[in-house]
Amino acid sequence: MMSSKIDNDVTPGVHLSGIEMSFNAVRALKGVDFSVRPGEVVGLVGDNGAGKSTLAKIMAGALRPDRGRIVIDGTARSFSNVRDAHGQGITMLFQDLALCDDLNVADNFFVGREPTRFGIVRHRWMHAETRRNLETLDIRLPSTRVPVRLLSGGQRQSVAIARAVSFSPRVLILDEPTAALGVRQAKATLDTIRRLRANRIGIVLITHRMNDVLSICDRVTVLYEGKVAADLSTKDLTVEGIVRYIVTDPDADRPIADQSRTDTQPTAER
Amino acid sequence: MSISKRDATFPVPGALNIDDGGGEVSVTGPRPLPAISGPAVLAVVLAVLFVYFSISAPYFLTANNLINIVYAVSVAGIIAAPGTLLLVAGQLDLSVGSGAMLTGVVMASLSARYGIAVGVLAAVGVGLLCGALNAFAVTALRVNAIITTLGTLAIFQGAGLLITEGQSATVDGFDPLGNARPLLNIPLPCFLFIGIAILFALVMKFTRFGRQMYAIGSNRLAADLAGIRADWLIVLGFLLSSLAFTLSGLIYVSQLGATTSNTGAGLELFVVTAIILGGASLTGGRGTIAGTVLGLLILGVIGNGLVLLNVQPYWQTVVRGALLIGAVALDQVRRRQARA
Repeated sequence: MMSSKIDNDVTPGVHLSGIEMSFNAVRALKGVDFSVRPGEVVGLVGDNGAGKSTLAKIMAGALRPDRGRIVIDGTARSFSNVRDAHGQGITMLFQDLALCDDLNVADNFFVGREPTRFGIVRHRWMHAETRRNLETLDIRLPSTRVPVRLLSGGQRQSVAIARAVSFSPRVLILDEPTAALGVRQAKATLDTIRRLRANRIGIVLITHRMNDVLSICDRVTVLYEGKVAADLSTKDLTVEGIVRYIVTDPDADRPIADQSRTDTQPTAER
Repeated sequence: MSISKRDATFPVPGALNIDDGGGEVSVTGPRPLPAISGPAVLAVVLAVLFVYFSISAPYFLTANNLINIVYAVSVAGIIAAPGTLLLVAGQLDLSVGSGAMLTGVVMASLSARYGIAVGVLAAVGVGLLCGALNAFAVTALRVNAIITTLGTLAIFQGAGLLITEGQSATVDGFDPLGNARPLLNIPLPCFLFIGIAILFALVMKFTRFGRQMYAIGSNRLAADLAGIRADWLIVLGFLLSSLAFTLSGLIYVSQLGATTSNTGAGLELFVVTAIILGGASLTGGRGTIAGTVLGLLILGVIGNGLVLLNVQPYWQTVVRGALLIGAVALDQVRRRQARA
């Protein structure tokens, strides 16, 4: 396997090794190694049921692996829930779960951690601080007083990302952040991700859009039925190159000729 | 009516102009309802009703009658304040009417033997137990709040009937709470209603508890992920609701000098109608005390005006039911437009 070097404990970043996970009889992950370093954007790709979301959820503390190690900046960790992982600097942006539609941008930004003085919520400070945070990421909204439901999909995504980033995570996991977006909005989201990389945040990008992988990721890890099929630098990589790994069993000798076969592997995602 | 996407993005004043590549905002028609603030519409409705009844019922626009209107809605208003807070978190308390009856009965029957202080304390204790029962079923047993409180509505009513055995319980010397007029000839319950409404408006706007109730009602999963202890806040909401219906029960006892198994019947309909009319969303996330107060006043003015116009009082109940359905329908329209 190509990723044996990541067992080196002194490497900064988050390193998972030998991750195994089963749901009843289904082996969703069969000993997966995965790593993301500060300031690195790693694509996590694979067919439906390959184990992308399962791996991401394990990293984010939403699932506990049956076996395997999680090492953060040289120290072995285990998470019992999402808040645990969050406290260790790993934050996952859950699709559609990130925002409260009825609350305005600032309320969303501070939901669950509303700043108070003498028990009184500091609305004005919240709005100023939210605006400042958005500006840092070059996200432009006309007002932080609009309910989030009136924003466009791209703006919502930006707000959700900005909120996640405000916790200063080591690693931010994005699950299909551009899937529901139009072309221009998707580009804006990718621009935001580039800015996060410049801030030394490690990004894990789960996506089906191979062009996004090529344009933004430094590295891509391809999963195939719970195994790592490849861990590649995106330099000189082509869409066809990635797709070949996505559809090819790494333990088989040669590529599967008939790609239209029905996938009988039960899906472990969601 | 078709407008270009750009123009249609936010065609109304007070709204915004989005540009982040947000040209993709898909809006196919005007979106007036979310932008025109709910309270403004209600204020207009209230003003129209005022003008109409002032013209058609000579006695309507007198100080005494206006006080009567507020007096008539103050018991419901005391309950509607925490009711709004609960609905903002997506929870409905339908047990308020029978809860008021039960706590009134407890107070009346105990104070006959042990004195008023004991009676009041017991009523508060029983009220909190009622609230705890609602909260337990909703948060621990995960029973939907409407079903829970529909059940406890029956339970509290039955318990009250068991205590009184269908008779009315009378109380002497407990008049002031419901009847005293400490200032400007305005009855004490009006002040209690106004005070509690202001208190809850401040709580909902300026405390973490209030803000987090909005988050819970808007997106429970997001609230959980943000570390909000939703269940405990909902428990607190139900306890506040139970304290409010206890106070209402005590006011009833004071006003009537007695309590019967009919006391408080239909109160939940009045309260819920006022809250929904006030712009709170049935599914949570939206609602304000200001809106609820306007909703209460609209119901109060309609009821009062119909009486002054000599319309059979039974029509009030019909109108109230129709208003409830109308208010929910309006909420659906708002919701559909907001989703666009």
